[in-house]
Amino acid sequence: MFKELDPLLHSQLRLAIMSLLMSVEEAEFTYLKEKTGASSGNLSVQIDKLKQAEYITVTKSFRDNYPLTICKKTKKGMKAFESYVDNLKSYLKP
Amino acid sequence: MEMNEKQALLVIEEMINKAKTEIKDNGFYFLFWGWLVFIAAAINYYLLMYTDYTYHSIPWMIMMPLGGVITVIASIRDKKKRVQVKTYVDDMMKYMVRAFAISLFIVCFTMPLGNQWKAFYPTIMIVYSIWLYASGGMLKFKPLMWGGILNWVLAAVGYIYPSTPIHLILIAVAVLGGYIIPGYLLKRRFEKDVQGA
Repeated sequence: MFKELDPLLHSQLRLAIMSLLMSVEEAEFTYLKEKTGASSGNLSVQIDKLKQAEYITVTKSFRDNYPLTICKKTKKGMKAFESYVDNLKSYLKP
Repeated sequence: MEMNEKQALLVIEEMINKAKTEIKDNGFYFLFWGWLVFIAAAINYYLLMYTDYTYHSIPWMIMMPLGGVITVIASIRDKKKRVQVKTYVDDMMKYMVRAFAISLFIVCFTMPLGNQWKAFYPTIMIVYSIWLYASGGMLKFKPLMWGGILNWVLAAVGYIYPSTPIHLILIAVAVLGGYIIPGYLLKRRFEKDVQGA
């Protein structure tokens, strides 16, 4: 029986963001941009969606007069990612 | 963009690989302190063995506080251009550096006050070995771990033979194997990583 995949995570860029955040404690916007290769606009939109779903927290501040955006996964986000991977496995089983 | 399950797995795999801990240490502090201690020990040895100068440990009193000031300035500058990601290893290293610095500070300031010279250098090497072995393990960088093991051996030798000239040679060898050589290897690996990125 195939389990439904979380539509919020089943999107290339959002999944990439969550995968990166699963591996580190926190990451700046520029780091996510560099690793995913996405445009700033698209990345902002997807980060906002993940934030609204409470999968990540976003802290905005300034450093040397430049805006600084730090993203961090939440417990809810971790759980969602883990069950997404579990569900994914059910599709990939031979 | 639509993606199938296999593509989803590829995305996860690719991102996790990209986020793998990169060595961010360029070896600066290892080389800086390694050479500073090595030169101080060498001058101290020369003054003690080949001159009649009473204050033969003067190089330590000048070079160590100077090294401390330079380290504080360099670390403030480092913090400003801090990397864009915080990994779990970064967090562990922060506590490790703190524990090492406090231990070393206590040894360097209170042992001379209590006139505990016989155990002074071996105790410094013990503190070094904990730092080198543990940080080497966390960074997955074997030369630092070997440096830690070397420091344990030299500390043991130092405790058995409590003689200042011997201790000065031991500490010079300890920083050569524990800081200077791993420092250059770390620098090389860092430069390779930066080029490869």
